[in-house]
Amino acid sequence: MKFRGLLFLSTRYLRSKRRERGWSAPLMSVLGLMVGVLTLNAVLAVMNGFQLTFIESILEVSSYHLQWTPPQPVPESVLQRLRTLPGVRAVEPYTETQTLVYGSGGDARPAILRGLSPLAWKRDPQFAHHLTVLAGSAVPGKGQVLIGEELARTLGVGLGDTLRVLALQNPHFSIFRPIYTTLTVGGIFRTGYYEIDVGWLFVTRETALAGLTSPQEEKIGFKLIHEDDDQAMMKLIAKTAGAPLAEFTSWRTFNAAFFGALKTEKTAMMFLVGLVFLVVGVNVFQSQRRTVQEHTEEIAVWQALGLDVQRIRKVFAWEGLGVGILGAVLGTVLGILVAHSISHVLTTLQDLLNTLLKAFSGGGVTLFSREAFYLPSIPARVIPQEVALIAGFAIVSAALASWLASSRVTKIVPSEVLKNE
Amino acid sequence: MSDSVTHSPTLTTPPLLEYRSVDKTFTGQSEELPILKGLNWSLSPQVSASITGESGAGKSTLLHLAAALDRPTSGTIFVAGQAVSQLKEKELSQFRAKTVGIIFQFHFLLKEFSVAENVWMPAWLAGESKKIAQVRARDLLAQVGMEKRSLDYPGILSGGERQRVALARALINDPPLLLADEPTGNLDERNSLHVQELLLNLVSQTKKTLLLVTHDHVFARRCQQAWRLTAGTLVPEEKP
Repeated sequence: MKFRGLLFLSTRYLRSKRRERGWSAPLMSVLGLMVGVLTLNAVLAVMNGFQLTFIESILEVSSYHLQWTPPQPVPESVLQRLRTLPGVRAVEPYTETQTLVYGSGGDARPAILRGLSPLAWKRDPQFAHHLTVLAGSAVPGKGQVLIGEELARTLGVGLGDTLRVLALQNPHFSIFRPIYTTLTVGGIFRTGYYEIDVGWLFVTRETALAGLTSPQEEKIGFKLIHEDDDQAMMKLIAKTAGAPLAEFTSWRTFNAAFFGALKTEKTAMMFLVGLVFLVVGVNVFQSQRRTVQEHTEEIAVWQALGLDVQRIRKVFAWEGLGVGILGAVLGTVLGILVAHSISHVLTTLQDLLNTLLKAFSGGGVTLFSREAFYLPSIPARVIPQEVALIAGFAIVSAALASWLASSRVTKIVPSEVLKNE
Repeated sequence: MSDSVTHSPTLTTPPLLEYRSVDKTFTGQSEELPILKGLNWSLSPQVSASITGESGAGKSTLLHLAAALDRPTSGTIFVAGQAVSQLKEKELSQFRAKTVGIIFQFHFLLKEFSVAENVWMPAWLAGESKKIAQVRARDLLAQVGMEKRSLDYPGILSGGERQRVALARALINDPPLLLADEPTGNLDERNSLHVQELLLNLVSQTKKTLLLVTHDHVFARRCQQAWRLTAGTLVPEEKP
């Protein structure tokens, strides 16, 4: 049977069903699916927004995609060669040490101090992009430090103030030696990720090597074009540098616990919200079973007229596919709209709730707090692959339910139906 | 149409329909009910034959076996040289669409479709172009006197009209074998006679082979052959 033939029969049966039972059953299925897709898209977009803000801040500002800990400083010629490798976005040598930072009031806070080449801000534009400078210069000068907004606030320091930094130097890998240095606040930055904003300092490599760190502790950070290529790139870089693979670490390893938790959270949320598809699937299944049952006689006649059961089955399964496609398209469009205007949606909802609450109890609610979430607005990030996956899952669940329900068609024995009549 | 009754099929041409050692037994909850017992019977092309018999004798079963709507317990049924009981699902559908046309006692027109659609759809769905199927349906509806009702739905037709549409539908794919299961059993006398005339005339004009199951002995005798199903086998109907 041609596709048009299938569609013709299917729409005719849908029309007759609508005449007999109204639009309620297919409409409820479409609405259910639409709400499920909408919710899942909106929730995941917001979740992605939060998570990617954190993840990108970590990867772009602090941890890099790959870290190499060479036993001795790497010559610039090798670094230049590594910078030209396909798939490599940036290669930056840095030194790093754990410090205690004292502000003007004498309070001490732990912070990681990283020494970078002044060229790093140019060579790694994503690093510079994620390090939003609120005051002063983006690239600290000699003896200057770029300090996180929250750390500056905690220590009570501002632009031009001095900080006392205590570091433990370990030049011979045996005895730790405390080193005190005074640095001037040359700039204040913000990443949006609290842990970095409260616990990181950036200085030039020259400043860091002037007593705080030693060249022996130098590491090389790599940014990749595709962070998921980390394993293959690690092998390529190690081979090019002539270094053992054991000296390299991937972002997956040093952030495993945190990123794992975020992934688990997202999977759990997808599963829970995705349960709505199960409900819709059951609804479609029941409705379709009833339709097939009501058309037993016609199905037997179609068989007698020469239509094979699998094709007749498709006639009845089309409805599920139609419900799936319609629900998925509507849900996707609305979901993306809601995701992109989530701040506005929440503000409107908050105003509405507060108006209602004021009328009854005088109280009020805050649906999004900038302070609590440490973000100026609700971030939402729509990932096309996820949108496609959700839509595909919605369509498949409805179509599958309909297909399973239509299996009754294969159990109809035309001779029995037509004879019994 | 001749009123004479012939008691043996023509043997000079290969039969269009042949039952070879066919048994059909229905299994009930506690016992087995044999309907056909070692039936050997054949029908030559372009011959009309009627089968009468008591209710429950297995007349409809005989027809359903020929239409491949049911399978024999044992034995083989040949239609136009094909062993239909051995056909696979896809081949069965092709066979039902192209080789046999069926008319039931209860018309079984599809209520969701108009008269014209009921007639042209089986041809369209069997692979014919929609236009050709519609033209052929129009001709057939004209032949059964239903062309003016082609846009109506079966629900508003009388019993006789429905059966006339069912006759047009059975002929749409131009099948060599027409199977009619008590086509007038549900009609009053006037409509019954009208349908009988139409059926026998169309069969004669289009040179079809007809196997008719009926309780109406007068109608049965209007076929070229008249048979009676009794004790699971076919015996020639005796002249009155």
